[in-house]
Amino acid sequence: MTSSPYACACPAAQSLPTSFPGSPRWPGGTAQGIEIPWIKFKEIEAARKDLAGAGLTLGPCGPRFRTVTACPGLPVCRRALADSQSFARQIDQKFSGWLLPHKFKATVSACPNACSRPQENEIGFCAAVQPYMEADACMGCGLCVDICREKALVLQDGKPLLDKSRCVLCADCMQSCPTDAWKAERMGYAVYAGGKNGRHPTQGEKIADFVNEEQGMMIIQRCLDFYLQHGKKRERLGDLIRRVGRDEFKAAVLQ
Amino acid sequence: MTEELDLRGEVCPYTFVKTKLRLEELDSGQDLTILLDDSAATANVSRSLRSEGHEILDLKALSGEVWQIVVKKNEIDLQ
Repeated sequence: MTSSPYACACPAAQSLPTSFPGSPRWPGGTAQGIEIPWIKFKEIEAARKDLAGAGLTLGPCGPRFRTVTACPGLPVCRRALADSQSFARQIDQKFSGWLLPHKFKATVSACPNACSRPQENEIGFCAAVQPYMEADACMGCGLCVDICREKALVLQDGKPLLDKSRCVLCADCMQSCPTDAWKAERMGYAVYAGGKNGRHPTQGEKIADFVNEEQGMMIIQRCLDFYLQHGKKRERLGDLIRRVGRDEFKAAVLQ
Repeated sequence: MTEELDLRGEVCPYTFVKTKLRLEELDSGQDLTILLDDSAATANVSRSLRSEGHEILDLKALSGEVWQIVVKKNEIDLQ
C-alpha cells in the first residue's frame, strides 16, 4: 500500500461529521482492509468512485469469498520464502466476492512462521522449503545446528544431519549457511483447509504440500465447487468437511 | 596482521553496524576477525557481509558459545 490511495481516499472522508467522537479515523481491520466509518449511506457511491480512482475497491462482506490477506512476504521480510502478496492478489482477482454458503477467508503466508494465520482460514497457503545438504560445500561450522529452533539438526562426523520428522521447512538452515551448502530440494505452498476463528475456533487441516501457484488456484476452484455443491446455508467450510468427512473432501479437492 | 573486533554482548543491528564501521577503516584485501556470542547474530552478520560483496574466509564456534567470523574486505562497487 503506497500513500497515494490514502491521499485519494481522503476526500471521501472529508464529509464525515466531525462532531462524531473519534471520526474520521482509518482503523486497519483484521481483514487487512481500510475501514472508513461514518460515510453517509447516500454518499457511498461517490466515495466508491473516489476510491476506485486510487485502485481501491469495496471489500466483499456477507456470505462471500472475502478479500484475501497475506503477510508482507518477499522482498520485504527477511524470512520470506515466497512473494505472498502477489499470490494473494492473484487469488483475490479471481475469487473475491463469489457468493457462497457462508463467509470464506483465504490467506497466504510466505514461510512456516505463518504470520497471516493460514490455519485459521478456510483456505490457507504457507510457503515451505525442504532442504538438502551438499556435503562437499559444507565446512562443518555447525552454525545451522545452533540456529535450528526445531532441533532437527545434529553434527555427525563434522557435518549436519537432518531429522526430517522434526523439520518444519522454514529454511533457517539455508539462510544461515555461510557457504550455501544447504539447497532447496522442494519448495512450494502447504495448503490448510477448513480453519476459522470466532466463537468456535478450529484449526485448518493440512491437505497438500509443496503446491505451486497454479495448483493452488485449482485447489481453491475445486474447493469452492465442492462447497457450493454440498455446503448448507450458513455452514462454514470446516463444518462441512467434518460433516461429510475429510477423505471425501480431499478426494474431491485434490483429485 | 589480522584486525579483531569483539562484538560479544552486542545485539542486532549494532553487531553489523559496528562491523561496517570497522571495515571502513580497513584497506580492501585486509582481514577482520569478528567475535560474537549469539548464533543468530553470527548468521545475520555473515549473510550481510556476503551480500555486500565481502568474503567469509572462516566461520567457527569457539569455546563457551562464542562464534568467530574471519572476513576479507572486498572493494565494494557503489554504482
